[in-house]
Amino acid sequence: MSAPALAADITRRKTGIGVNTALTSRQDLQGGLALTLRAREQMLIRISAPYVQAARVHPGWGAGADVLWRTGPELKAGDTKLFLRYGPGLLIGTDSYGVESLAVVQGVASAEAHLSSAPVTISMELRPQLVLAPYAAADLAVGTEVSWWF
Amino acid sequence: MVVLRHPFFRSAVALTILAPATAAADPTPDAGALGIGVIERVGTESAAREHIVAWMRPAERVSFGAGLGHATTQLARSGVSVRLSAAADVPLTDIGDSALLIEGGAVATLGASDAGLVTSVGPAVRLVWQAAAEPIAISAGWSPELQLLPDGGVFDAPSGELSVRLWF
Repeated sequence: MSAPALAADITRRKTGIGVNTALTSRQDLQGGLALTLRAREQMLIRISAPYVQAARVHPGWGAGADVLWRTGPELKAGDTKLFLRYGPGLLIGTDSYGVESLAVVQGVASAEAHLSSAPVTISMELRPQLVLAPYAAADLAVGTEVSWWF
Repeated sequence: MVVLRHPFFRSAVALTILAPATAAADPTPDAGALGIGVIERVGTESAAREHIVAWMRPAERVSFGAGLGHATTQLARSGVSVRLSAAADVPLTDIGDSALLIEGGAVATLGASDAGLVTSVGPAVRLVWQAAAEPIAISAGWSPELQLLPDGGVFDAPSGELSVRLWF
């Protein structure tokens, strides 16, 4: 692969920096800034912070970590490509008073578009969630992410 | 006839003849395109819904979407939701190489909430900006809707929509 082609291939880049937000059915907001690292081949580790809300505990502060596997390209339009990402994740945090702990385990199923005009990805994801604390609940979050890759 | 021989007039005629050959290509997706997008829908009394939607374009100017997400309907009943959309679009104007469309259609969301099943139906109209450099469309729209409540009641609510779609 030539150098320009390698530079344009986002799947070979090591680090993505962007913004990730997700909204649950209870209108809880999760995410913040997102740092995504390509650990090996197409296994990604994503760290997001600073906010985590769960089960109507407002506001909440915390961080999330997801391990995502990327497959594809599944679809192409010119040089714009669509990949899939999936994997498990965890969100932990506290409410703003430091009284309630927040803990959420989640699955992530994501469609990730690689733009052709810049090393930018746009992701749209479904996150089925189990809220473990402050009390048990099931939820579904819809998330979006925009990242610039280096 | 003096007017017709004027250089300005001849230039205008020449430009008119050349215009179709030099016009920007239509950036709207072709028939057969597949899309994926996210739609945020916000209405009165906390009636908010968000879906990841898979789109298909079986013919020029016609789109269908099916999505999965969540809904918080009137009185903060919340749960999982399925969304179905049908729309037809008409080009309004070009903005540089991009295109501005108006899109009309219908939306139905089928939700299972804390309190039971909640369904909403209604028409929708959207302005769609279709980028040229990337197969991305951003839309903003408005949709009056009826929410069919678990207790048998009906709640009518205007909703706004914001969406991003990517076409392949």
